[in-house]
Amino acid sequence: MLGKIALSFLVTTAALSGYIMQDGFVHVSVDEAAKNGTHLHLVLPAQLATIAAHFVPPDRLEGHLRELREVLPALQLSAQQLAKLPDSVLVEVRDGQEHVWVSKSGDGLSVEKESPQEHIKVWVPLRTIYDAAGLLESRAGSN
Amino acid sequence: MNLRSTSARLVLGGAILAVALLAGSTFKTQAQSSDRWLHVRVDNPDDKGEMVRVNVPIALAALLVSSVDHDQLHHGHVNIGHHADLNGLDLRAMLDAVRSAPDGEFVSVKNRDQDVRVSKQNGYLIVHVNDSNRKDNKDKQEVQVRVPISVVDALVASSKGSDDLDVAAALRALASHGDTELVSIKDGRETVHIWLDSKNDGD
Repeated sequence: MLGKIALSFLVTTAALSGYIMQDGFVHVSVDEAAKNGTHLHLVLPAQLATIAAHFVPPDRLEGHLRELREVLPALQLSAQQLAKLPDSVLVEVRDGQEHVWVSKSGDGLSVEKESPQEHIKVWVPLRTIYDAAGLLESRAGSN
Repeated sequence: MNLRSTSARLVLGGAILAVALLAGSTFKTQAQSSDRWLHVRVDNPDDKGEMVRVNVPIALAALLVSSVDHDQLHHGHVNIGHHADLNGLDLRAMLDAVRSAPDGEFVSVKNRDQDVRVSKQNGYLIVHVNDSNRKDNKDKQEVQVRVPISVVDALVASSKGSDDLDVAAALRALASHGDTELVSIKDGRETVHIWLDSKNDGD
């Protein structure tokens, strides 16, 4: 009996892990140059962002959705098309000592900011952008 | 299936070859669709070394423009009716006239301050503005715009009225062109370049 419970727990955990990890991971890293500066490196299952979007109260989302509604199809389409492209720097801005660039890197979109004070990098799987934009669009449609 | 038999090996080899060819053709189609890249490069060495680079595949730009329905942009069409700078000028009629006209210089204005020339040459609409007022070459302003006539054609061909320009069609037409320098602006030490090629890095 105990063996069956353990087995079903194991199967459920494996299935849940598989579901959560199916979209890959969002990478966030923040490195401050100051002596006691922050060094934050997070690797989060991308599926969590999509799951979290389900639980945002409609009244909190409504205002933002109204603004985003018109660009969500474009965002979804961009994610789909970017997946077909080779790795490339799409936008790069350098202003004095600040350097910001957005690039398609592997299966994701990367945004990096580099300055004498800090280096910030966020990498999001394109599939997550596609799924989140689709989900928000369907929520915008139902409101 | 016994893989040791000759026919089985042939079937397996054929299947592998078919899959490889199919995969190859799929990748080729994807590569062609993202073949042409539009690049924008702004350099200003005076202002703390400001620099902006944008590299975007034309096919993606055309798809994005077609999918947006916001403000004056409606699924690839731009409404220019509310543009105050046009001052009653029928831009669509003007572009229509340019595309059907033979090669030649349409506008040539030369005065103490500026030299402006608009012409059509070898399938291109060329606009050249030269600020001749500046004595110092360092502050000189120069603008050169070179647009393929097929792009002008696409811009007006399927537009919905005199206030409408089909930007998505123009981008698709642009995608069929070879390496082209579209816009070149020099204002003092600041430079702006917009061009089209098959490279994805913009260098």
